[in-house]
This record gives sequence, C-alpha cells and structure tokens, in this order.
Amino acid sequence: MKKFMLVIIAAVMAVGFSAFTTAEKPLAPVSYHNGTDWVMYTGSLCPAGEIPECIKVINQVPRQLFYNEDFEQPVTRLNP
Amino acid sequence: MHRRFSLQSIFIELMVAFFVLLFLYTAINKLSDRNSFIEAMEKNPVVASYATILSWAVPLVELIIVVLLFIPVYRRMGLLAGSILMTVFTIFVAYMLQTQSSLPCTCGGVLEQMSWRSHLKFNLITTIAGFMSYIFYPKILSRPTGEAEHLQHSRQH
Repeated sequence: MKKFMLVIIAAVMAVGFSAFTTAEKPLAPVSYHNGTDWVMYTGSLCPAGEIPECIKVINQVPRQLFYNEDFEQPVTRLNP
Repeated sequence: MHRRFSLQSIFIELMVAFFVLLFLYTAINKLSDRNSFIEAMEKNPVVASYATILSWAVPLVELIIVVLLFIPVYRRMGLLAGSILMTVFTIFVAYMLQTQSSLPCTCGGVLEQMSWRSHLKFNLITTIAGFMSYIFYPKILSRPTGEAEHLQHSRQH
C-alpha cells in the first residue's frame, strides 16, 4: 500500500485539478480584417495540408485569416 | 552504493507519479472538453484529417498508460509507453514551432497556457526524464511476482 501512496496521491491531484479547470473553453476565434475593423470569420476553415492561417475569398475579396486579432504579432504562442 | 539505489528508486517513483498526474489530468481535460479539442485539431494542417479519431485515441492511450503505471508488473512498460508518447508530442510541438503557428495547443488544461517554446522545453525535459526512469527501473520488478522472487532469491545465494 505504501508503494501505491505516491501514485494514488498523483491520481487524486489530477482529478482535483481537472475539476478546477473550466469544462467548456471558449472556442478560438478566427477573424479577418476588412480594412477598417476585425470581423469574425465563421466559414470553412483552412484545408488540411495548407498553412494554418490561409487566405480565403470572402465577398470576392481575398482575406488573410488570423487566429488572433493582431497584424504585428500573429504568432502568439511563440512568445517566451 | 545503497544510497545511489535509493535515490534511483525515489526518482523512478516521482516520475511514475508525475506521469500519472500529467496523463490523467490531460486525458480528463481532453474528454471533458472534446468539442474544443476536435475544433483545435481541425484547424491544424497536420492532424485535421484525423481529428475525430484522435479525439478518442489520444486520451484513451493516456488512460492506458496511467493503468499500466498503476500495476507494478507493467510499470516499466508504462514508463516506456509514456516516454514514447511524450516523444511524439515533442516532435509535434517542434513542428508547430518550426511552422510558426499561432494555433492553440490541444494539450489539455493549464498546459495550453504555455508558449510553444516553453512547451518544447517542458516536453524535452519530461521525455528525457521518462526514458531515464525507464532505463533505471529494475527489470526484476517488471517480471511476474513469483519469477521476480525466485530471481531475487537465487541472486542472494
């Protein structure tokens, strides 16, 4: 039983931590800039095999999709 | 000599507990928020085609590893499986870093808050520690009880 103590504590901690994590996270928004403002994109996503933030033709205008509303630093997770 | 072995066993026990904590926590998170997990994968060019299958397979593999780590006979196998899974995750994170993706991580729970760089460091350290604990884990303990006792007994004489 003593051998299992650490593993059991770890398992209880894992279940406990999970309970404190919000179950439903807000889905990551996909948006594009229409020249004046950011607009939420709800259409079909970039096809598999292409770059994650692809260009889509929206209302006959090609638009770059962004997963965060930032021209300067679109790559948020690259920050240390 | 005895001290070295006790340090080894402490390291192994801590690694087993850490793997249980990590895999159980992320598996529960992935299963409880499966829709977000699938959506994040569908945005990813590498895994988009297999999003639905992976949404079940990844947490299931993680839970199997947790079960293996609970059973002393299979604990060594669990450490190896956990280290291999961490290697796969590390390759995935390295690829995401290479492609400069801004996509969110599909890792589950608080791990998603990490940047790709810190995530890569975390995965590398965990993978190395996992393989080390697998190598250090005494092979004799991973045999069925009767055989292990017989081997220990024959070594003493």
